[in-house]
Amino acid sequence: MAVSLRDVRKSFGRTQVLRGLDLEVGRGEYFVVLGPSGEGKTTTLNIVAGIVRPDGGEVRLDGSLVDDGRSVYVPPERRNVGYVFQSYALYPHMTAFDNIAFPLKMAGRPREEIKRAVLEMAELLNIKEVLERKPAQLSGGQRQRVAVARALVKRPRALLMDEPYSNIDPLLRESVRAEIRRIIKDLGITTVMVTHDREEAMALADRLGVMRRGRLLQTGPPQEVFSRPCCPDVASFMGYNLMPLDGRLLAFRPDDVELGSGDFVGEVIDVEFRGRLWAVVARVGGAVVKAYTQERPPEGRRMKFGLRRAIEYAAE
Amino acid sequence: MRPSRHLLLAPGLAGLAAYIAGLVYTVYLSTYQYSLIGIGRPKFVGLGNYLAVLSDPTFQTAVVVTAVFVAAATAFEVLLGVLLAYWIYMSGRRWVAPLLTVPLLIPVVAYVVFWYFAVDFRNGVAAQILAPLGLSMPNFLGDPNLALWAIVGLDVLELTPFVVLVVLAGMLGIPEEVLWAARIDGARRLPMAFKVVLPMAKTAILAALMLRLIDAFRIFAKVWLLTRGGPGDATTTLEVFLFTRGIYPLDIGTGAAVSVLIAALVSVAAIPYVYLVLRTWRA
Repeated sequence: MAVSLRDVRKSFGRTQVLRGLDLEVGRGEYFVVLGPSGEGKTTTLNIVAGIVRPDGGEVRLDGSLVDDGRSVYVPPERRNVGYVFQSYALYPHMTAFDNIAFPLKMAGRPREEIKRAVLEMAELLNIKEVLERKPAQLSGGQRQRVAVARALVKRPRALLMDEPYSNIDPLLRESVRAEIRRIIKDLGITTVMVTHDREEAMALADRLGVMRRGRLLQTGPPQEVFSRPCCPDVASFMGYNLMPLDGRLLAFRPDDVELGSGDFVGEVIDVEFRGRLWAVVARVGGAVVKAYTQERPPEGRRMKFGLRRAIEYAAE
Repeated sequence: MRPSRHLLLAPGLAGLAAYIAGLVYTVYLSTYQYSLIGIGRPKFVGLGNYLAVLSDPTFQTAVVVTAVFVAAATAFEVLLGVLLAYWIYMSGRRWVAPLLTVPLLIPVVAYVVFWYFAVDFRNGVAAQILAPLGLSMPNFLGDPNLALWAIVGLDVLELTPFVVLVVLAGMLGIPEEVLWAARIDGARRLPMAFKVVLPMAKTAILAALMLRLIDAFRIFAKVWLLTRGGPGDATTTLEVFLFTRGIYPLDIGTGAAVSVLIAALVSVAAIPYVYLVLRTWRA
């Protein structure tokens, strides 16, 4: 395993952020940690990078122990990981070229080799034209590419990315993230990315893990997690409706709701036109249910509906 | 603009006007032979006062003494201040910061008395520590070659914390993630200081340097209380010269001329530097 966390625990003051986190990422794999904000995703990356030390557990890179929360601690500068921060954390006083070259300079590589490596990364990421500019003179997208180049230029054992696409123009985001994923995959670099964006996670991940309350509730290929969520928490984060019924909990996707006929009756709260489809929000008993439909939903406050497919969980 | 906005500017403009009027009036007075104790009316002498002052060897000494003091005190304070700020910043001892204001709250007179007891060659603390070892303290305040350095030492002692405070504030403005990125990129010790932290605190360092440079010209209290400009003229700074030749003898004309010369000299030293600093801030 390229990156391996076992039973990692971390508290900040009284707040327990990670409660026995297990995470295994294979060599060359693109792994996405998905979860809402404030659930320990960034802390996980910081622990892998060595910026934050865990209270306990084991952190391994390429099989070798780098932190056990006690006596073993390999500092960040000797772990050879790349890190793309959410803010990018570029050096504001250096040009893009010097930013990308910095890790190699610190490693004492010869000048010619550094130049070649930086130009190669710039070519890959399509930022050759802006290498002489400083971060303040770059667009958000260019800054992100410089940050990715700086993280990749030393061919790290693992690339860590913290919400790398959240500051990119939504119209460009899909093509940018696909392009950068392809570059990373071509270089064969193991990646751990964290995001709160479900669609982004599913689009990019070889495998993803859903994080809640400092633990990974479920890991697996995106299709599997999406179609077979292990538990109500994951289902809800995957966009499922949760509806209590006879002492059980029904989970179903908005597109699996059939409006107009069926066993259930809901009170319509809201109807939204979303372009490709209509979203109907209805109250059923104590639960709020969302449904997608291709046709304009029938008028009226009360509405019958049925379920094409649902998962049952024992009620909590 | 509505008139009320002009009204809000009025106090500031009034202050500026008074300031400029004072300058103009000083230039006007500097062309008269005018003493408050002499008899007779003020007499126009043109540049006479200036010629007298400029040809006075004591004035020439004062220019050199002041230049040496300003350069040495500023250099030591900024070097030491940056070093200490970096140490406090990197070691995470940020609780030190509030303590740094204490030296700035202590009256200069108290500092002078303390310093006097510290460096006095007969009864001073240092002398008493050295005596049993068979060593003696040089007579700092009595030796023309050393007296100025005693004053530099006192100034460094008092004002280095100010530099630390300003530079530390600049360093604390560096995003933590950038430091982490530097660690991850392999920067430690010297590269961390010279390639990352100091360049990013550059504006604060330049600001501290500028403030100390301008302020170092105004060294009167320490000199007067410690050496009165002596021994001989060894510590006669421009301000001491102004005091002994213009203000104390109530010789308004000479005093005004010296004041104008001081303003001109300080401007020559400070304005290009201020211009440079402001230009880097804009970039």
